Amino acid sequence: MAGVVEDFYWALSRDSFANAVITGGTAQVERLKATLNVWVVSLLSGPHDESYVASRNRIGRVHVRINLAQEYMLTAVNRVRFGLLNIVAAHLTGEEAHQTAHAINRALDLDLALMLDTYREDSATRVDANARLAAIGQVAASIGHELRNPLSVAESSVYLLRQRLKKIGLEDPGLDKHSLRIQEQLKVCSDTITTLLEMVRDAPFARSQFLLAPLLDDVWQRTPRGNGVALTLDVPDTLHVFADREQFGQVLSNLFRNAVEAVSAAPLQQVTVSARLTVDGTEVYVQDSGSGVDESHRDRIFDVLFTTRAKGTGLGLALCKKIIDRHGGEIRLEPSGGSGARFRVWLPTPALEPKATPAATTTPKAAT
Amino acid sequence: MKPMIRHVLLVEDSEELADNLAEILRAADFETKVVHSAEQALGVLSSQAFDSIVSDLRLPKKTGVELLACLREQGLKTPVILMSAFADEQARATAHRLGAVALLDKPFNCARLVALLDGACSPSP
Repeated sequence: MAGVVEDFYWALSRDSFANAVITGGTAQVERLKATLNVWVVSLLSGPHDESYVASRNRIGRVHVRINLAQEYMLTAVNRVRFGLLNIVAAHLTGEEAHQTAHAINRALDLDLALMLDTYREDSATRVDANARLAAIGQVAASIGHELRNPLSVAESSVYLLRQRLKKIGLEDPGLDKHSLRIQEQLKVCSDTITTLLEMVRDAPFARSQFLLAPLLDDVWQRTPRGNGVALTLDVPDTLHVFADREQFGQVLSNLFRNAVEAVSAAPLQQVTVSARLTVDGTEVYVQDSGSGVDESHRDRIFDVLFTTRAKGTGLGLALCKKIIDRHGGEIRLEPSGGSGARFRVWLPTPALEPKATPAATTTPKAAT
Repeated sequence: MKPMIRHVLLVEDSEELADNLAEILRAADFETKVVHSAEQALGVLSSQAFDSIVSDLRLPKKTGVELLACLREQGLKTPVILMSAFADEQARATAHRLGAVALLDKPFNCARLVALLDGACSPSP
């Protein structure tokens, strides 16, 4: 059995796509080998129950997430099939060999069907989401553009009004308060439009390696919040991330704003940020002491225009997801372990330079 | 000593915004001439010199960036500040390459525009 697993990863090590995706070195490969071993053992020994199906679905999803072409799945399963049938041929004869080979083939076909099915399902969801985003984008871009001109007129008019008030020396707290309030609200409108346009704009994307802690600090300083909100930071000083600094800062900013808002009415106003290095990247957790996300909303919180807050736009988390997806990372709401919401953001370590061999079957994405 | 008069050409097709910005600039002691298109701006510039130009990006015919390009072709080094409701990456890059002082996203802080003009109009050492 170990031979089948070894052979599989030997074949994988010669593939440029696999090399670009598996960036965690020997440690990650060993971990993946153990997973494959568990897969083959459970394939042959069962039980083939509901949790078995769920585990195959998970495998499918992982491969969709890393943008693996479906052909790879077929080829990979065939590689395993070849290895197992060789074992059968080497150890069994006659009817026994025939029946065992038949059973292995059937089990593998079922497995493949299960994995490819979620594959299709997940791809379809992605396509739907993209089409919806593109449609919203068209409308948003034109509305945003049209609204910015009148906002600009209003902004300059308030500026003139305030200057005039100052000039005539009229001190009226009411006038001052309300003209300031108009200015603030114009800023809110403008920021909403900016976020909307960010959603559809393909902002230039420049990743670099930088220290995480100073960015977290910087973003927290700029997060509007009440005095009572405390931040606990559990981040190693030397921890780096590989990301577009500005866009990743935007993700953190949205998560912080949400966290601060979630705890604003809570008895304990605590936001906890922790981060650590993993085998294949960096993960950051943002947790708050609020009342958490309603179970029925968990699946939809990253959807565009989904919000449960009176003042929410339904854009913040959707933008976070778009940015993290673009980084090839992952953002998700963790299962609530007690109170509050806990978000996990994972960013992959820089991919190895894809080898430009003639055998390369996938076009590497443009280096950034 | 009499302070030097600073001349600004404002190119903006929205009448309300042109009106407001002109009022703000005049209050900040800029002698301001308002036109509503890049073509009008080029006409005025052929007979009059300005210390600085403030122009919208989207204008009826030629854009603000095209106006900037025309000026540079004519060898005019007048500082230009662009304003835009939504500039795409290409416009941003071109504006930067042609040496625009800034590209302000609408709506912008008016005090910032005044500060930028103060800098742009100061005589170079």
